[in-house]
Amino acid sequence: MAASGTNRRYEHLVASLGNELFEAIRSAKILMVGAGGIGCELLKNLVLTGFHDIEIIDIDTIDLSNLNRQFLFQRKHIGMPKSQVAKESALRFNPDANILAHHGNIKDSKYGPEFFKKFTLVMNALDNIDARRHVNRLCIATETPLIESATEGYLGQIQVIKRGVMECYECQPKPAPKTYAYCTIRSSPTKPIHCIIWAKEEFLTHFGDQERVVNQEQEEEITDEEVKAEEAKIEAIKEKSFSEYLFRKLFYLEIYKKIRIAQLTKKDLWPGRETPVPIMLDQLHLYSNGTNDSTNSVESLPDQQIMSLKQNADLFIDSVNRLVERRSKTGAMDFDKDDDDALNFVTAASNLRSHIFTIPVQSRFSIKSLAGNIIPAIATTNAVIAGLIVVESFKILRNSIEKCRTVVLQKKPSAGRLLLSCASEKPNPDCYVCSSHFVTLECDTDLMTLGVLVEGILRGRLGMNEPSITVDSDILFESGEDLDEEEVKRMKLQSAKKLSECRIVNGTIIEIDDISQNFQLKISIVHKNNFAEEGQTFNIVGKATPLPTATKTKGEDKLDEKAQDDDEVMIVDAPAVPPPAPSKKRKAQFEEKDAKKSKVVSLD
Amino acid sequence: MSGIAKGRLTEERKAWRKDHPHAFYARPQTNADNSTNLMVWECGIPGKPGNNWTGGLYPLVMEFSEDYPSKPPKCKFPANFFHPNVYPSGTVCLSILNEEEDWKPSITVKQILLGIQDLLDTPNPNSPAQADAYTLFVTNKTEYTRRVKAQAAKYVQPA
Repeated sequence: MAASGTNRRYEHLVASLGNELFEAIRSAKILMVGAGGIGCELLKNLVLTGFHDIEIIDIDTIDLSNLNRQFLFQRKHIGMPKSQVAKESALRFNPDANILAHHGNIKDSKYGPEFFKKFTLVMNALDNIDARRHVNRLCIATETPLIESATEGYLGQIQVIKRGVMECYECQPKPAPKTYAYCTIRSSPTKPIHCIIWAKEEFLTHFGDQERVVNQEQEEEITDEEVKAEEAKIEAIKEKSFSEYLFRKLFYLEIYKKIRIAQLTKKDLWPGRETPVPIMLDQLHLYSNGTNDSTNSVESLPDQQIMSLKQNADLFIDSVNRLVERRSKTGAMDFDKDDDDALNFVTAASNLRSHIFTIPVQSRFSIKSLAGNIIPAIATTNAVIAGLIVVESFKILRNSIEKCRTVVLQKKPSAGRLLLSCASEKPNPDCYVCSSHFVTLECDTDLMTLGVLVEGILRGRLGMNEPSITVDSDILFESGEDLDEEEVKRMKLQSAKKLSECRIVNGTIIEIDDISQNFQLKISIVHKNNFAEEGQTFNIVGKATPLPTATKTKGEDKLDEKAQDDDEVMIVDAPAVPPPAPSKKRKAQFEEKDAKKSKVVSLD
Repeated sequence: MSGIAKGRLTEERKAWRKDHPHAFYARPQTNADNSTNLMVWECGIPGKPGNNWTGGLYPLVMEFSEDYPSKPPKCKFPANFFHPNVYPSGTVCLSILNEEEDWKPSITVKQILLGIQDLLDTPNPNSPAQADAYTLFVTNKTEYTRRVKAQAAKYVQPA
């Protein structure tokens, strides 16, 4: 036994845990998913607790912003894979451990059911819902116990999941990421976040992948001589200077059009609010500055200062010029909060739009945290949660998984305690992941395309990875890395088809299969063409699986998905996002912690 | 429509996607309207490395009947495919594809394709299906080899 002989490393563990548990720890095979904030703490705990066989996987490389809390990483490691460096640093704590590091995506098909089967226990230390759902499904499929964890600011929680014993990650609905009605974003913004989302969309429209699925609703068009004349003037500039053209189009022409529409149709597009004021690029001096100089203290960092209208306009022109040049060299870009040109564009564009709609202008710093969905992360919280994970793992290894508790770390003590624990819930018999696998989808089968079904619903809402769709043994759609070019081409054509063209109509039962998740689901289709909320295009109903049904537009979906993967930055003193106060209801708390995105935007 | 045949074929497709031998392909045919026809599969069989068939990717069509899997699929190379056990129509003559001989409903698409790949370089001279290849195979190995290599070049595997 390892604790005998010359190796006295484990003597205290055997003494405190007992021989039996210690042996179970030594022989357990552990998979740790994620080597970030929680992961670094957890890996250190694991090797110090005598865990021997550990595999870790992380998709990321180390960034400067990780170093304040991910203690296995140092400055010299920046740019290196997290999994590998975490392994090396942890081995210095305990050279006896046998750690295998994977630098990759847990959703990759090579980490499928076969991979999961070999582990005694899986520990999640993830930062996004998407990957959590994926790991949950694989653990359900392979009946591997999973310890799920999350932190946000001062809040944290852990939950043990085992098929048939306790509820899975998806037994309770998670709140849909906060989204905004299409018209709020396009026509009548009232908050800075509306302008930021709009600016990110504009960024993707002009500098992103031109082939991205644009599902924009038809904007109201008018045939007005005034507007036409202005349009012609602006088109003329396009060849000469794209940045000036874009400025005039976004901040003058489009606003002017809306105003004309309001005038001509006698509709009040901005009830109870001021009519927007278009900005004329060559008349910037005419506008009131919008900034209040007292907000800019001399000491505040440049990033935290509020820019004037002129500064924003200059920043816009400058960033567009750079982005145009980059696009011509390197092609389409994705929005990245750490890309200066992209962030400058979004900052300037959203501030200029805020000027127009008399919305308070924001500093570049605060726009970065909103646009990048930055979530505060606190090292101490991560450490507490990582400790709790190990405590729960002992119960699993003692074969008394039923004793596992769901534990919540609160911001303020209730009844003198910061940690609240309660028995885990039984599996939800109607959970579409761990039991019946059956949901109803209400949608307009003459309007919805197969592509929207796949991207927006199967991937976007139901968390699938590589879904295939079969109706009456007819394969309508397949996705996955194994498909060849020809098959991919065919799927592109299929995606554009309306459901009814694929014989998916009222009453059809479609079968979904996700090979990568070893997951099957049947969806019963109900044709419906009138929805309660404007802009709503579908509704997912389950008997007791009331999945969130918020309104979504395709473009916003995209933004949300992107956002979830973003890394956190620690802001201890002045959190970009005040953590939500813990509610009394346990479930509500979980949801808060899980739906990171929703909290970030619920800011205002 | 036979539910059994189609149900089995969707399973076959799934199994194939999860795991199939390198460089092979097998997929249901696409109709003009872009829907799939599960009853006809388009497949490709690569020549095994290290023989005269190497380098070729030989197209094969599998036609399933409503009685599948009680009855085997008909497997067809292009017409006039050069091989002693392939009929002039392209139909492959192989015991596991013969209901009267070794066909079993449990035989998978993968097993059929691997079986045909085996047959390429190890023809069965006791069961000739075409005069051309059979005659050369038993009388003039040099010319037979030349024809096989020419055919491999014709169906050369895309890089």
